[in-house]
Order: sequence, then C-alpha cells, then structure tokens
Amino acid sequence: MSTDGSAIEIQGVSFRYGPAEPLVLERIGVNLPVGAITALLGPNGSGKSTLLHLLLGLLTPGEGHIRLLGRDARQYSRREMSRILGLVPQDEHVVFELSVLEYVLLGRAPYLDLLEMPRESDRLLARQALTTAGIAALERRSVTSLSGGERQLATVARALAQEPAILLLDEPTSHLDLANARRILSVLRSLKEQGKTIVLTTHDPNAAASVANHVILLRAGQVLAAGPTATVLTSVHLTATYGVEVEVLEVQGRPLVLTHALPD
Amino acid sequence: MSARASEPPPEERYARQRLAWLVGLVVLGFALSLFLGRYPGPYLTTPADLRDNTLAQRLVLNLRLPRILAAVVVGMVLSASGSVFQMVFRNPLVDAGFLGVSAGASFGASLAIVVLGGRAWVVQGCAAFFGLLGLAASYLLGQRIRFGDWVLRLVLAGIAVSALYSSGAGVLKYMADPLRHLPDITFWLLGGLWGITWPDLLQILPVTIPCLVILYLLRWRLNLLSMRDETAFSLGVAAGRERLVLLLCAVISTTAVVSKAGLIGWVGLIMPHLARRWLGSDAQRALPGAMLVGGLFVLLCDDVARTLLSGEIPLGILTSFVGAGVFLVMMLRREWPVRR
Repeated sequence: MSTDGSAIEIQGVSFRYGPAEPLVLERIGVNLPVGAITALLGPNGSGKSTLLHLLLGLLTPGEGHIRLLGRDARQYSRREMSRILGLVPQDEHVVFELSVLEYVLLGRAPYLDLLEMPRESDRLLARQALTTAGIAALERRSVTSLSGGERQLATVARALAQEPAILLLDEPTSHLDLANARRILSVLRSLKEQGKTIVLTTHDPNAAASVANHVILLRAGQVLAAGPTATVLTSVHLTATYGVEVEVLEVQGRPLVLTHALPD
Repeated sequence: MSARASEPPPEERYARQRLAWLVGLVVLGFALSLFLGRYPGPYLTTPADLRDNTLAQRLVLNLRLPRILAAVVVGMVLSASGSVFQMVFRNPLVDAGFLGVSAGASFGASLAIVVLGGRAWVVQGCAAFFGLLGLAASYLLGQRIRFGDWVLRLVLAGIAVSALYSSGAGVLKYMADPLRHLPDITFWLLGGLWGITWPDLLQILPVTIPCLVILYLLRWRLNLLSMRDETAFSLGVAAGRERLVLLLCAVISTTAVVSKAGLIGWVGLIMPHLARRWLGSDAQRALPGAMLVGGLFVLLCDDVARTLLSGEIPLGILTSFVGAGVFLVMMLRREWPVRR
C-alpha cells in the first residue's frame, strides 16, 4: 500500500480513442484514497466511463501513469489485476439462465487455472459474497429472472467473490428505483466499513452525495474539483460542471442538489 | 449452516444424477443398436443369428458397429459445437448450420471431389478451410449488418453465407461428372451414414476425439466467455485467445464430421437447449449433457433411418424433421430462452 494512503494514483493521464479523435481525458491527476467511497461525478460524455476503463486496464493511457496500491498498473498481469479490481458493469446482460450461485462463482475465475472447476472453498466464498450483498436467499434463482436491483446486487456479489481490494462500479444506481438504489448504496457503505476501496461513476450529484466521502468532478475530460464530498459539491462547482443553475442545500447533514425550478 | 455452506445446491446433485442416467442410456442405446437392422430379417438380429450366421457376424462387425459408433460421434460433435457457438457468440439461435460452417464444409468437400481428386485428407482439409471461412464471413457480416439486434444479425448473416455456399455447391454439382462425382455430392446435401466403414471412422476419430476432449476440459470457461467482453476482461479472462481455441475445436470437429456424414441439420441447435433444460445452463454440466443427448439423438435417428424401410432414409432429413418439430414446440410453449 502506498505511503500517502492512496489506493489509486492517476498521474497526468490523457486518452483519446484514435489518433484523429479528440482527447476524451486531458492530463488527469488525482489520487483516490484507500478505504473510501470515491464518486467520479460528471455529465454524460465527461469521460467518467473512459476513466473507469483505464483504471480497469481495459484501455491504456496515451500519456501518464496509473498506480494501483503503490505499483505501476502495467506491472500487474491481467490475472493479478482481476484479483485486485472487481468490476460491476453498467448493464450486465446475461444470455443463459445461470443460477445466481453459478453466476457469482464466475467471480472465482481469477483464482482458477484454465482447466479447473470451482471447488467447495469457492462455493463457500461465493455464498459469503451473496450474504454480504444481502441476497443469500436468491442463490437458486435464475439470474435472468431477477429484478434489476437484485441482478445488480448479484453482480456486486460476483465482483466480491474476486476478493478485490478495490471495487469499481459503473453507474450502479442509474436505472434503479429509490428503494433498490438505497439497497445498493447501503451495501457499498458496509463494504467501505470493512476496508474496501470503492470507486463508482455517476451522473447524479445526489447519488454521489448520499454515499461518497470523496468526489472527483469531471467536465469535458478535465478534473474540475476533487476532494471530500462537502467541499466539492458546491453550487459554484456544479453549475460550472452541468451548465445549469444549481442550488445546494444541506438536508440531514449532507448536501442535497437541486436545479432551479422551471418557470411556470 | 457452516457445515452446509460449501455443499452444492440440490439442482446440482440432480443434474449429476441425470448425467449418469444419460451415460447409461447412451451405452444401452449403443448395445441395442447392434441388434437392429435389415439383415438377416427386418428389425431384429437375434443372438442366435450372430452365433450361427457368419455373414450376419461380418455385417455387424464391419458395417453396423462402425456406423453406430459414427452416429454417436457425429451427434456428440454437432451438439457440443452447437453449444460452443451459442455460448461464445452469446446467441441461443445459432449452430454450425446457421453460421455457414456446415455449408462451407460441404462446399469444400464437393470442391475437393470435383476439382482436387477427392483423397480423404484433401476432402477433410478443404471442408475445414471453407467451414472456418464461412464462420469468419458470418461473424464479420453480422457485425456490419445495419439493423436488428445481435441475435438476429448473426443469424441473417449466417443464412446469407450458407446460401452463397449452397449456390456454389450447386455450380459444382452442375459441373460434376454425373457417374463418378454427382452421387457423392448429392449425398452430402442429404446427409447420412450409409457408406461409413472402419477406415472412414478412423479418419475422423483422430480429429474429433481431441477436439471433444479439449471442449470438455475447458467447459467451465464457456460460462465466462458467454459474458460481455468487459466482464470477461475484469474476471482476468484472455477472452480472445480462449474463444479462438474453442471455436477452432468446434469448427474443425464439425467439418470433419460433415466431410463424412454430410449435412445433418438441427442437432447442434436443438440438443444444447434440451441439455440446458434438463441439466441447467452452467456449461460445466450442460456441455457434457449436450454431447450425450446429441449422441443419443443421432444414434436413434440413424437406427430409424437404416431399419424402418427397406430403403435407407437420409439421416439429415430425419434429424431436420424431428429437430424442427421440437423447435416449434419449444417456441409455442414460450420456453425459448431469448430475452430482450
């Protein structure tokens, strides 16, 4: 672990999808603290998902470096990376009717050799992950029959089965209703308390406010502000980011973000 | 709780029992098939015939036995490959027949017979080459078609590629020497096992058995490869390389089978679905299940093909008839697992 308590250090990272394409990210330099929930917040197209894919290693930065747990990300093999980073993708579309337990067992792949099948110990860990995600009762159901919120939790459990130090979530609550979004966020909160580092992308400042203790505000591929949630989620920052007048109230001891009402 | 926490759920135990039953059924079917035929009398060859009639002994050993073995292998290969295509392409509506692999293989085999002289290894090599080409063409076309979702696009591309190959095979048929080559080619388009002898079987076993073993050993990985690329990557899977290995095994074994048995349709599409329905979708059990169900199905169809009438019924016609029937029943009962 690095000395300054950063799980992820992003140092001067720029990225474009092709030589003729515009820069999607421009000289990003931020640190993500260990054992915290960090939200990558920004409007659609601001580069959050690209940044997440760079952290995952799915994309490689054109310039700059990413350090994971104090080591240059390029020094990890893909298999090592998959033991450190667990991903919960935005919309996991499962074609075949795996049971929830079989689905979560896929998260054991980083620990299994090419010809190995999951063992009893893997099943034990998968069941623990299901319990952590609060859906132990669903293990025999088919993943394709789950509701959106349940499927998202199953995917969180699959990522937890990887026993990662860092959990990446791409828009984890954007298509969930209030109750299901709250369920996910409370699971994330308890994971944080167990010492996991959590990184999530969201375009919704209130989702960030309700769970993150650290926010990185992105706009057009650049970091507009980064730091503890209360210092980043200000009306000045958010108005600059989203291009609409934004008001930030304090409700229940945390920021609540409102846009100005439309004229009647 | 803690004692049970590492135990498999009941479904997994049932699935294992069903797999054991399937193995038993295949062995039983195999043994019974040895006593089914049109000689000495129609339908049943009695143990007494085998003891006393030397012609019947020779027929069972030299013709019936290799043919029965071939039927099981053909079924296992087509069904296992169908499972692989469906999972790797994340598309439950494809098999070798819908991806230009079978049509490519039969075009390649016809080409080898008409133009290249028709030695066994040339026929097999040509079938494999054009089968792979067909798969690649279907995949690339499917990515470029501009309407419909992935399931539909890949099926449409495969149909187009197969049709191109069929028209090519039609041209070859027209060019073929009507006495020397035409019967061979017509045979591919119908599909059947009537000419299979030990040498034929021994030509395809060295290709198909290793492929089946590799697919069997890698079967759990199919689950990982049926996830999206982003997910497979995050699970540490070298998806490109693993897909290539599995697809090569599926295509090479399929084209070897097609080069001997011709076009035997619907096995690779339907049997994997039946296996998933009975054993669950986890390829750890569904893939061996598909192999066994496919082997049993082709064995039984071939038994009917060679014993029901005094003349042979082409096997491909029988499997298509039954396969299409099962397909319709599944579609109408809304059990078809395509979801949006």
